[in-house]
Amino acid sequence: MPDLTVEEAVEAGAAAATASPWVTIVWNDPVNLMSYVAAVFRTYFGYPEAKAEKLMLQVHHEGRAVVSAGGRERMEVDVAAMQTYGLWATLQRSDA
Amino acid sequence: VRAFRHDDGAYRAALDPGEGPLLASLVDGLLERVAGAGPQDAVLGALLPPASRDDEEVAAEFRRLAGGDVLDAKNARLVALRDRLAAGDELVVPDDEAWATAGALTDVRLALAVALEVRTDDDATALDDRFGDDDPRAELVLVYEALGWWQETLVHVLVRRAEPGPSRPGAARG
Repeated sequence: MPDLTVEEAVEAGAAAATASPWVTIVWNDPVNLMSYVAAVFRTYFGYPEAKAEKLMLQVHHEGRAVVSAGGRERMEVDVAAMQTYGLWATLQRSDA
Repeated sequence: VRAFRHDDGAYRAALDPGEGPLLASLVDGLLERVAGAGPQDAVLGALLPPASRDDEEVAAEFRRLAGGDVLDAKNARLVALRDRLAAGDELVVPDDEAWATAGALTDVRLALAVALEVRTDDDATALDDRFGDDDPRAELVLVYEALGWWQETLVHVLVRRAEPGPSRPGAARG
């Protein structure tokens, strides 16, 4: 899979993310079902089906996707939620 | 195990004879493993991976603030799944716990993937031929794959019914 820089991942994942100080990233893993990952993005973030599907495919094909952006505390909430769902999520500064 | 369906006000999946106790003991084994796990335990690491790949301060802060809540939530839903599996010839899950059941199945599969050394998508694809028949893990492969299929049928019904799972504070429903 292509090794995206964080800047590229941010650009591809969430156009608004560059204006936010932190991002939540979901990483590809060999266990989670594609249907489950897309369903989690829909139900947790409230993303429309097309956006949830696009992010899931980005995770699957590119290895990761930026799924949300905002302040650090908000990203910690999102990462905790993603990990509770069983996805591998991390947070980092959007310019890191 | 048989496919999940929504029937008579709940999510239901028929269990073949012996499957309930077998899967309940598998879940119980995971609960014991997590309860006794040290910080470096690989299964614990699969259930609560580091929240940063390169910044130890970020990962440590997250673990301190949120790690306990994540593991408590996982523990509670695994206990619920275990008890329901042990209950009889059908797994019956109320609507408001269907997502928790899907999450618990993910955790069981994440833990099995550690035992089966599934680290990449290629590992997962090659799993069928990975272990010889005399390797006890060959049987675990069948369980792992059956649970994946089973979870897929549950997700299918969750999506069809637009069952709400835990959501982001303030998130719009899309």
